[in-house]
Amino acid sequence: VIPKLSGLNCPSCGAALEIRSFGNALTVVCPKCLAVLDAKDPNLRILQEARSREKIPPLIPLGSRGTLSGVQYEAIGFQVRTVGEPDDSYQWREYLLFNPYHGFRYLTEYNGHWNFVRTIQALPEPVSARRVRYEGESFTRISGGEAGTSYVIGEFPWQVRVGEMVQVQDYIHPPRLLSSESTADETVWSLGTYMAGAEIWKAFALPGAPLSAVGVFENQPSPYPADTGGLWKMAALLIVAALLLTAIASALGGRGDVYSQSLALTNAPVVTPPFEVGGFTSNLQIVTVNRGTESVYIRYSLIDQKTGLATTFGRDVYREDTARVPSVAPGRYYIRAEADRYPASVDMSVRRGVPSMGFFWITALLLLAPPAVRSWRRLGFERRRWQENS
Amino acid sequence: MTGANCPNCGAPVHLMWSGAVQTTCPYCRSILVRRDVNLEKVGEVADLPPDSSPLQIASEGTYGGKTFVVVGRILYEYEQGAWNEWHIIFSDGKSGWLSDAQAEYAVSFLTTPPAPLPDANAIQRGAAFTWDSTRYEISVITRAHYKGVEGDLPFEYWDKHEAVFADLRSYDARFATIDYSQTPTVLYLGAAVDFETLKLKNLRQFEGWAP
Repeated sequence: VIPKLSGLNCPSCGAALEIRSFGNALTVVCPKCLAVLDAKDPNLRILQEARSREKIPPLIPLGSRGTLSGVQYEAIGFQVRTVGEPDDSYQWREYLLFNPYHGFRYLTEYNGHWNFVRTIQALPEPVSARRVRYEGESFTRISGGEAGTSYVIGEFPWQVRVGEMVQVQDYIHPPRLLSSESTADETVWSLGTYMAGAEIWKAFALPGAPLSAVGVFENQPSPYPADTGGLWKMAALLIVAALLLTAIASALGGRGDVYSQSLALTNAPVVTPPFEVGGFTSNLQIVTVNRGTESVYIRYSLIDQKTGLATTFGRDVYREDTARVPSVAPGRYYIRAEADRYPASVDMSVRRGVPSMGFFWITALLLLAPPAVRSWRRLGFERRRWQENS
Repeated sequence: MTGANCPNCGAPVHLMWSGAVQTTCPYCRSILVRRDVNLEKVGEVADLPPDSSPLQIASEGTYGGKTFVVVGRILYEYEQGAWNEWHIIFSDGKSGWLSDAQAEYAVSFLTTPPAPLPDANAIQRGAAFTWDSTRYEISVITRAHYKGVEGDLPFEYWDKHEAVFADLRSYDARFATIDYSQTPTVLYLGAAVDFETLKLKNLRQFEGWAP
């Protein structure tokens, strides 16, 4: 059994120190006084005096253990990293996790957004100025800059110093995030997977509840699924079906000319002989063509011969007019026509089952609404992702 | 010959691998080299620094569908830590290396390069090579210190000081190492592996951790 190193004290402040990663630790930073110490030196030689006394408590206390992806890890190091100029910068927090068999992992946190990260041994393939390929997926560059270590406590298997700078680049394929960190000597790539704060709280059995995440993070998965294509396809299918139904309805409605007559209108109403209206209940269209040069106002009554019930409506006819009487049951009808100006001469024709495209268009709009709304929201989410992180 | 006595302390020395050219005496830490049927002491291993590899001599695992056993190792140290090259012997007798650098694992095999390898002072980061129709790029050049050996090795390896290694990566998880610690320079080709996939047995234990 490899024993834990024990009985260590900070040479700067005397506080008891714990080394949790056995012989892997290269640097240890005293959580009490923030002095940077050489973990390989039996006397823990001081490598860098504390730059500040201000303490930043990690959300996951050092020494806590949690299970991620089925493996137990212990939080052993914590750093705050800063990108950008002092007046325009942002900070994220990084937790170093350790398991003596599985090695090192990281948890990063920014505005309540978490990533579970591991370094990768493959080299992502550059495919364009903004894209790299890794494990068959294309990752798009979203941010980059010079990152500095602004606060650090705990132990690290590398040389860590406050103020140290590296070049970082982030590429996304949500929920995965590829990051490169470059120094003069080496570029290290790592792969992060987005996690919600609640998952971290559960994994490490942390007290209370995590702060809710603010904004949209680089690789946060969209709550609006990517496959709006399916929704669009469904809408298109339903629209085709509605079109077919409209055609079938008009065919079954006994589509066609029912009756036509030239009307010579005088001061007395003109009454047509009864005519047969077939099919089933659907609309009836009355087309009037004015053969004169002045407009004429015609009062039409469509009268059911059996019941005597009349549908009465008036039309101003300049050259040609189409009136539509909805829901006319099959049966025998006749028409009474009366003009406000006479004499007048018009050609009247009655047609059955003319498809009402209005209903079809309303149906089509309703069917298109869900995919349109979904796509709109998804686009909005993506816009925020790029606005807030680029 | 798999059993003999240490010419230094007389303790029985058992070779785990019949092809071993060099081994160490587990009792007096003498480095022993095979000369015909005898073992000759060529040096002594200094105290190995405490390292934290979960592997040890006689650990077993699986790679590429074959089982292997750990028979020896070379330990290196550099300014960013230390790593072990564990010498592994597969069930079919093939010899390979399992490297463990802070629990990042990789398996590799000695390979004959199709063209001569460049000199150590002629290489730089980003330089690309194609071996076995895979493109490799130098990702880091490390100057390491040889810290010691243990167990059975396929060649004589002792009396080393500083060594230069070029690590190369590919677009998949394959990797290569150009090893300048030997003359002529040698090439290892292999792949990074996850701890889980190695299905390791007979590992060391760590205080406070379940194996």
